[in-house]
Amino acid sequence: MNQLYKFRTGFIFLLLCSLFTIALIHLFSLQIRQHNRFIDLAHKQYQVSVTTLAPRAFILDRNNQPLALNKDSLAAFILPQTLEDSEKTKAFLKKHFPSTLEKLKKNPKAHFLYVKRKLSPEQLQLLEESQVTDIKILTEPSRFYPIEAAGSITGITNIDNLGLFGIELQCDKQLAGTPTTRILEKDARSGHFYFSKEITQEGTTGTPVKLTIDGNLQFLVQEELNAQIKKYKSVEGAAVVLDPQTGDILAMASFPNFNPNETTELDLITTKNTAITESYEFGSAFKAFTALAALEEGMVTPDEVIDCENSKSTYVAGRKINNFEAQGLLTFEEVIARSNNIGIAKVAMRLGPQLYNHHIKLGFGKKVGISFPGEQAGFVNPPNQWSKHSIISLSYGYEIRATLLQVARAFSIFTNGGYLIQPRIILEPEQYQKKPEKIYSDQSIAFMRTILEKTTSLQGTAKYAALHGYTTLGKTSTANLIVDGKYDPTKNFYGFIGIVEKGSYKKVVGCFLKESPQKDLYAATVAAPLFKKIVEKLLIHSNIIAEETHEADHSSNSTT
Amino acid sequence: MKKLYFIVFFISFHILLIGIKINKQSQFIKISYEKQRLEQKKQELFQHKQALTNDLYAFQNPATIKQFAQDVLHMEPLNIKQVKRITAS
Repeated sequence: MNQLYKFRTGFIFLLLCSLFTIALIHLFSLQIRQHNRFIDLAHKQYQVSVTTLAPRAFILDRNNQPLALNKDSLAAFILPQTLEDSEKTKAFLKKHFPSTLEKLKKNPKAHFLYVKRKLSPEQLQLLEESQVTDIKILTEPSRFYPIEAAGSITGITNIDNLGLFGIELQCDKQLAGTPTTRILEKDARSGHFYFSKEITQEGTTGTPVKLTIDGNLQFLVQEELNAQIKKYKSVEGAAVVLDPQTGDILAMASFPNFNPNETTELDLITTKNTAITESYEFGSAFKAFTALAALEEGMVTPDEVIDCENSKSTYVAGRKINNFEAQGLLTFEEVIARSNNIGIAKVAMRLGPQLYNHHIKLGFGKKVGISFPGEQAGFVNPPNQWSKHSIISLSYGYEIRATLLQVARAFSIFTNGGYLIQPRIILEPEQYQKKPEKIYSDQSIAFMRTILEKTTSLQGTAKYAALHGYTTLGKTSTANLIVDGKYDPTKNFYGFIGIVEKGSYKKVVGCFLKESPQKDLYAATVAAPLFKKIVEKLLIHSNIIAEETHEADHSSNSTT
Repeated sequence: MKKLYFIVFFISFHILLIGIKINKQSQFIKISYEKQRLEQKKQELFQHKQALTNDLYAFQNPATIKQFAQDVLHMEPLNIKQVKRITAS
């Protein structure tokens, strides 16, 4: 009996010990070995991780007027796993959003599917009227651009509100900031009540980008460009207003252009910022730089008489040169003012390969350094690739390609004392500004200023650019465009680069139009008047009004 | 008798503590809900402000102003020849 009792107690003791051991092992497994797994499971039940993007920062013009703001756009979505009325929803999608139905068929186990993002008011109304309860709406951040004329500068964001082109792309990181991730505690049942918030990753808000652009001036310049394009039925054009002292780009208009608030059907060709992203052979405007180089190198004096052969077409060094009218003996001043190809070619031949160095010194052949997406460097033909006629072509702006901004920048030297400025489109603190380099002597600049003033006089080619009461300097540019590898005389480039001055007020304005179906057109009649119209708007906008005094009436270059 | 009082006191005290804890929790949930509601309201007001700001700048758009000036006020674009600065001298 005693033995049986001992056996029983021993057996029960061992059994209990075994049970406790099993329980301990199990507890060890749950609490220690699988600790992290169960912690994760618990967190999933009552915690939710939410990542929020900081609102995208604004893009401002130089007067703090917003060029890009935030707005909420609406997106429609479905949860394919929890459709209440699958047939009705699919029928609706088939009729109005067939691509979404295709996606749903390909991905029937998806938890979330967009029906349409950036809903138009009509689409929203359609969804509301349809009463399809399975299609839900959410808000998403997007952009609004109050000044549509600045679209080619600001660019746009994509459907995920990330920069696609323009400043939106160039400064995407600065504008977007970084997202914040929070862990929220919720009740397991409804998932709605947030008891506490814990930030696991602190985000940063975006920093606004302030541009050198003047929003109102941009609108005015774009309007004038559009009007001239319409008048001459041109296919492309651009205009730029530049401060020759600071390098600030005040306005930069392009055609074709687009409305940044209407991007559902966007033609990519309209999104180009033509003044920067397209380079052309500018033609006669380069005579100013050839003349400057010749004066700087002492190869010619302004009053030297050049024989321009008194012919509309002649051969110089075996190369046929055409001129728009026959001109005989002209002083070098007159050669530029009257845009004589023969005269400038003869002077350029004295310069030879030195002309290339001057083009490089003026910043041609490399980007101006504003880091704008798609910016072109242009092209300067180096002397080792020259043909025997290259120097003649280069003298009047062929075999060299440049953007409008590059030419406007180079032209700034005629009004800022010979300094090559660094153009900028983003206003940064002054300490980051590179000090401009003086690249031409005061004497050469003074000679050229006299010559370019004559260009806008009654005898010059750009008389339509003159403005009563203001000093205007400039050069017209009519050039043949290359079509299928050959210069096509029926397809032309009409440009004008000029300067307007009134006391200490100085601005460089460049503009061009490309192609027109109208015959016998020249830059003097197409681009010079556009320059004048832009300058008029610029002066009124800047409140630079000529004084109604006796002297002012006589100090003007010419009347129009 | 003393033992009974002690047990009653002990149980009552714990019931009171549980009651306080439940009350605290319910207050916490209530305040959390209110906080969440206010956050939602703040978000709505922010969106409303954003929409109004956009409207304001849309109305300040030079194209809109020009259209209003020409269509409603019957104004015409200004030519520089029409603007003169008169000096006292």
